Amino acid sequence: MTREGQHQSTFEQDINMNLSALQGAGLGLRRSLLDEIETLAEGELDFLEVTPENWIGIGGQYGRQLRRLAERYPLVCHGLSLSVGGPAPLDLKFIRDLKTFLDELNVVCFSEHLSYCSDHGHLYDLMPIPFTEQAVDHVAQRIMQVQDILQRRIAIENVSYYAAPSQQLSEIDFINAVLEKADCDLLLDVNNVYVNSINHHYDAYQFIDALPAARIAYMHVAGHYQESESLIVDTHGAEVVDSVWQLLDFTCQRVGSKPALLERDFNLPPMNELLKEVNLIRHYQTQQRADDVQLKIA
Amino acid sequence: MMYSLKLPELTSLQQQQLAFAACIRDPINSPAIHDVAADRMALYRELFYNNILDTLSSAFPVLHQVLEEKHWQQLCQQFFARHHSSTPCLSRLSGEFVDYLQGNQINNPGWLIELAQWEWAELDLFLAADADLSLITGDDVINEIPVLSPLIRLHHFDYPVHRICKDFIPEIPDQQKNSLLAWRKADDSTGFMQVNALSADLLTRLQSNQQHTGQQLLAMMTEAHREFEPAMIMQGGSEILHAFHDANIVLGSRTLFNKDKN
Repeated sequence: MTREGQHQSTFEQDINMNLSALQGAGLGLRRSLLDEIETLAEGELDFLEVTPENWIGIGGQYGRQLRRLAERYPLVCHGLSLSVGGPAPLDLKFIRDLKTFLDELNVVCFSEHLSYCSDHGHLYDLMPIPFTEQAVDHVAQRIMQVQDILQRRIAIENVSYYAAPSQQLSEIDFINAVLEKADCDLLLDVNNVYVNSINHHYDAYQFIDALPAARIAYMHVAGHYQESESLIVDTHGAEVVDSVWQLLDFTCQRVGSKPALLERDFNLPPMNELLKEVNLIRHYQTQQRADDVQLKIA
Repeated sequence: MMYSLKLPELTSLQQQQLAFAACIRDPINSPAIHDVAADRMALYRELFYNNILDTLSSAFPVLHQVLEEKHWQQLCQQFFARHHSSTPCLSRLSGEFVDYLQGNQINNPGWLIELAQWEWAELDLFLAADADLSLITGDDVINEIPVLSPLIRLHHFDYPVHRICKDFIPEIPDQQKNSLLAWRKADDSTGFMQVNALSADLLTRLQSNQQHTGQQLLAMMTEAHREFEPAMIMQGGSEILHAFHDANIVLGSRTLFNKDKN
C-alpha cells in the first residue's frame, strides 16, 4: 500500500466517525447572528457552519461566544481562502493554523470551494477554475496535500460560476474527475446547481443524478438574485426560491437524507424567518425518510 | 500568501488563472479573455470589487465619509488593482490597506494616513486574540513589574484625527502630538482616550519594559522630564498606573523571577 493509500484509509475512518455526529438541518453562523443563536432552544438547529477565516485568532466576546456554541452544537467549517485551485503554492502556515482551529473546536467536517480565490495575493471571492484535465490534476493534487496536512478527509463544494474560461470538460465531468482523483467528499450546494443550470443551460436534475451520492458529506441551500431571465447571481441575500426547494426535494429522494444547512449572508431577516427555512430543509429530509419507510413496508 | 509568479515558469493553467484575475483587478489595463463574454467578466469585476469596497468602507467609516466619494473609490480601486494581500481573513485586509496607504502617500492629505491608522486600531483590537494572563501573579503595579495589556494601540499623531468629521478637517498639523490610545476593556468593548505627554511616555516605557518595577519606571521618568518636580511625577505617575490597571490597560503585575520560580 502506498503512503497516500494509508493516509486515505485513516481519513475514511475519521470522516465516518465524525460525520455520524452530523445530521438534520443547520445554519451558517454569522457574527451578527451570535446573540440570537445563543438564546435558541435546544433542537431548533442541529448544527452550525462556521467560516474559519473569520474566526481564527479572534478573542474577546465573539471568541467566547463561538466556544460556547461549539459546546452546544456540532460544527462544520466552510473555508473561503484556501484557494485550493489557485496558481500559487498553498499557504501551509494557514493550513496548519486551520488544523489547530478545527481540532480545538472539535469540528466534524471541513469543506472548501472547488475554485480559486487568489493570484499573487488573496482576492476573497471565487474565480472559475478552467474545466481542463490539467486543472483536474492540479486541484486533486492540492486537495490531497490539504487532506494530508489536516489529517482528515475534506469536502469540496460545487461553486456557482458565470464564465467557463478555457473549457475542455463539462462541469459535471470536471467535478467527478476531481472527486475521484483526490478521493475527497462533496459538499453539494443545491442552489449552485440550480444557478449554474440556468446560467449555463443544463438540466439541474440530470446533474444531481450524475453526482456520486456516497461522497456527499452535507449540503447547502441558499437564496440568489435573478438578474435577468438567463442570469442568476449567487448572492445568499434572499430567501430560497421554490425551484431550489424542489431541487432539494428531488436531491433528498435520490441521495438520501444528508445533513443540510441554510446559508444567508446579506439582508438577514429576523431569526424566525431563517428558522422557517431551516424547518423546510427538515421537511424535505424527513419526507424522504417517510418515503423510505413506506417503501420498506410495501 | 504573497508569492511571486514569474512568466516563463508558468503552466498554461497558471497563465489562464492569472489573466482572469488580472481582468478582475484592473479591467482597463488587462487584456480581455477571448472566451469570456464581456458582461460576465464585468459581473466578476463588480462582485469582487464591491466586496472589497464594502469591507473597506465599513472598516473606515470616517475616512469614507470625509473623502469625496470619487477620491475614496480611487484609493480602493488602486489598492485592489495593485496590492497583493497576504491575509486569508478579509477583515484583516483593512490592516494591509493602512500599510498600502503608508507606502503610497502621493497627493493624499497628511491626516489621511493617520485617520486610517486610528480607525484600523479599533478593528485590529476587535480581531485580536485574548491576552495571555499566565504571567500575571499580582496587582502591585508600583512595587512589582507592571504588565501592559498587549491589546492596546498607542499612536502619536500630527493631526487631531479623533475629532475629524465632515465639518472638521484639520488643514495644518497641531503644534503638539496628539497621543491617542485605544484598548480592549475588561468587558471586551473598545476604549479610546487622548493621553497627555507624561502618560504617553509612561505607556511607551511600559511597552518595552522587561524588568523594572512601576516605581523604577517612574524614577527614570523624573530624570527624563526635568521640567517637572520629581515628587509630582512619582505621585501623579503612580496614580496613572493605578488608573491604567483599573481600566484594563495594565493587566496586573509580575515579579522579576516569576519564570525561574516556575
